Amino acid sequence: MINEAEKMSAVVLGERLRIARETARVTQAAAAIAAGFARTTLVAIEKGTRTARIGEIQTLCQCYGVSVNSMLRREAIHVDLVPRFRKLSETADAGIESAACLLNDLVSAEVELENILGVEKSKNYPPELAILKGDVRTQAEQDAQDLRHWLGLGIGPIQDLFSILELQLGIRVFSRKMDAKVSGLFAYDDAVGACILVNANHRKERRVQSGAHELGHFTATRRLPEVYQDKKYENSRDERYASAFGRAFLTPARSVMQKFKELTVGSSHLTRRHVILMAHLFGVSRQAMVMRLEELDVAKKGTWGWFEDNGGITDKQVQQVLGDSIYKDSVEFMSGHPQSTRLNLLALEAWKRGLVSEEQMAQLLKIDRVILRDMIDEASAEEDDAHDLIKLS
Amino acid sequence: MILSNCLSETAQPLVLDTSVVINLIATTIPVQIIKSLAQNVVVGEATIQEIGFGEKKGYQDSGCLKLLIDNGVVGVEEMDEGAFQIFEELVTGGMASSLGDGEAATIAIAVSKGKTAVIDEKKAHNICAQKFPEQLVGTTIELLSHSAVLDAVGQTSLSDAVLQSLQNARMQVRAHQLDWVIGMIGEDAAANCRCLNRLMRARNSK
Repeated sequence: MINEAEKMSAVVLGERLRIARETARVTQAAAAIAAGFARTTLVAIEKGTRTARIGEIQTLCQCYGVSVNSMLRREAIHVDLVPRFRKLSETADAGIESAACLLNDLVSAEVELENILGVEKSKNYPPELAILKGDVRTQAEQDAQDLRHWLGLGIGPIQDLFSILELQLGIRVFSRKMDAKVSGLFAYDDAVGACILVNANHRKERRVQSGAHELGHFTATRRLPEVYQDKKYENSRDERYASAFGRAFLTPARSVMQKFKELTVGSSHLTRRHVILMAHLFGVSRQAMVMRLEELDVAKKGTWGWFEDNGGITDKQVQQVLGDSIYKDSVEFMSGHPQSTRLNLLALEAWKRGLVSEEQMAQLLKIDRVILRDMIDEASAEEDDAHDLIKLS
Repeated sequence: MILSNCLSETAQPLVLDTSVVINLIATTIPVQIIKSLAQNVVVGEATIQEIGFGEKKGYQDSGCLKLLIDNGVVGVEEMDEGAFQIFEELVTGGMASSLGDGEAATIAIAVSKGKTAVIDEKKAHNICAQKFPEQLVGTTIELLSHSAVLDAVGQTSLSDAVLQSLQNARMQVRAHQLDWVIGMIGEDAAANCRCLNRLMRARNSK
């Protein structure tokens, strides 16, 4: 029998069921039919004036694609980011809607694990800016430079953007395989903070570009959710700002010009080798690098078009210039393991303490059981290497 | 080596959890293994659903499980009222004291209907031991080490099956089961199984 103290209040459960139904885009009428009762009964359940029976809860959960445990688990967090994304026209697309739901679930999981482990999420957000009247690119370049300065980054290349986002700024960052057209998502909620999701199907440089783009949204349009799509025409000032911000943050003008001068000294032409080395140095794609050189008037307009028309700059050429080991690093695709580092660490800690089961963990991290088992084995192996010298307090 | 095995001591039907189904499918001979057992083998609806969810991500386990069910090798058990009450108890409360739907349903069906649960999850074993001390709960290794399985499939096939499950499904092995596993697949193969690394290191450091 369930301890009365453990039993969730009907009001809380009703609210959770409502959020799950709306996230799954199921109408009250459809849910009621699936559960075999009147719509008015579902209304009463969602308001908390009627207690749902376990069989009814199970049927509703099946209808909404959520687990009963996530509905009845005391610490489960039910963030409702998805309705905010639905206000965007893009979310009519199934792939984008799915990405929004994924971000929602990952944020919920991370917050729940923090609560269970008693970990406080630290945030170190710079003041929120606004996009002012006038040229967005100029504002973006300045704001990106200011943020670098605020973070103490100087003007040099950034080694690991996602560490800066997660560890220095305290933004929640996730990377998962999504529909190819989705490069990234950004959302903000007062309770959980800023969240970014990038596409693990994309190459590393593209994920970095997406992350920097979302950082632009975080900087100047923090309270608006956003979906960054591949090849989407930048027809809004917000999007043009974010893209310009991303470019300026990753490839600051002064630094690019200085490195360009150093690398091309003595050369009469811009070569593929120059582009490959510059792109590798700044951690951006070859195309992004050339476009940035064009934007800064360091290369002539149309330079990237010329490369494209003349065989492009191939991976093989990159391998020849950078060598095998560096090339492999620079084009690393995601392994099967999702790379949301902080979420994984929290989940593994909860696992170690016996607080989560394999099924609960798979459901929280939204990953397959076998991949999860591999992740746990890898983490356990690292722990075994631990030595007193590197023990934390 | 004979592994002490609660599944050998009971004629009760077995209820398999998702973790066990995944491990058995990974052996590549789930039909032969399950048919060798005298006990009936069933799964709950929650297990079927969870494995079906994996199908959307490209995993084949759902199709395999469907075949097992369609061919009558594995039965499907629904929760009755008694099972639902136990299920509700197991999925409610704090994270530390609750289980996932599939894990909870497996135990609920087993307790309510007088069957033996087969589930690898340690937390599930612990919670079950606290709440239902009389309930028998086995693991995949206990199922594979059942003498009936060895008699039916033979040493070579069983060794290969164990190795496949370790390599492809990262099957969980408890410390007291390691010697049996090594006896099945050999020391070298065991040393090369990532999921056994921790146990092998602990064993070799003694």
